[in-house]
Amino acid sequence: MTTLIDEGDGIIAKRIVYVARKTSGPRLIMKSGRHRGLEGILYDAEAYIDVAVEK
Amino acid sequence: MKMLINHGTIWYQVRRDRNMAQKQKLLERKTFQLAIRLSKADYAKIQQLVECGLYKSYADFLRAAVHDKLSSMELVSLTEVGPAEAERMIEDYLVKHPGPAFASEIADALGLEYKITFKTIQKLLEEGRVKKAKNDNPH
Repeated sequence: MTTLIDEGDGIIAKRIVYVARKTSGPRLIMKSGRHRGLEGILYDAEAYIDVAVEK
Repeated sequence: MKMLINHGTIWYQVRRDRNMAQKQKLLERKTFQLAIRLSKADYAKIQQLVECGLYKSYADFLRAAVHDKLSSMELVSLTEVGPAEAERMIEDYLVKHPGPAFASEIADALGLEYKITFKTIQKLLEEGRVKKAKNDNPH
């Protein structure tokens, strides 16, 4: 399990879960055409890329 | 004078019974309707979101907003467990709930911290005690 702690590091995944002291947003951002997204800030947060497992 | 007071008391009693019956009827309902008054600005913002196609209707937006608020207010108490106990709990969960499950769902169901859940699942994956789900979207 890699932990990124440097400023500017990024995470890209289908599903990310987080634990944060405080959040702001999310606010809606309009991209091109039908592409829409949400953006926000997590303060003092840790985030994990979710993984689906089975026995 | 006395009769008037008595009459008043009886009338009050009848009204209270009727109110209780109404409350009981309300409790038996499956859905409830609420009317709210919004500012013009808020109304316009919702209208924009509905027109954008993000929500099917005003009611759809309001339902989602209420749902979000209620789930954000839900207080979750987490249990502190050691790594061995976490391993046992997660394996038990996967035996009892066959099929793919997200690590976050397991954490939520067992009341475990995300940190310990993800670390434990990583260890279980490395040891081959659990495997990554073929379909990475269990829902």
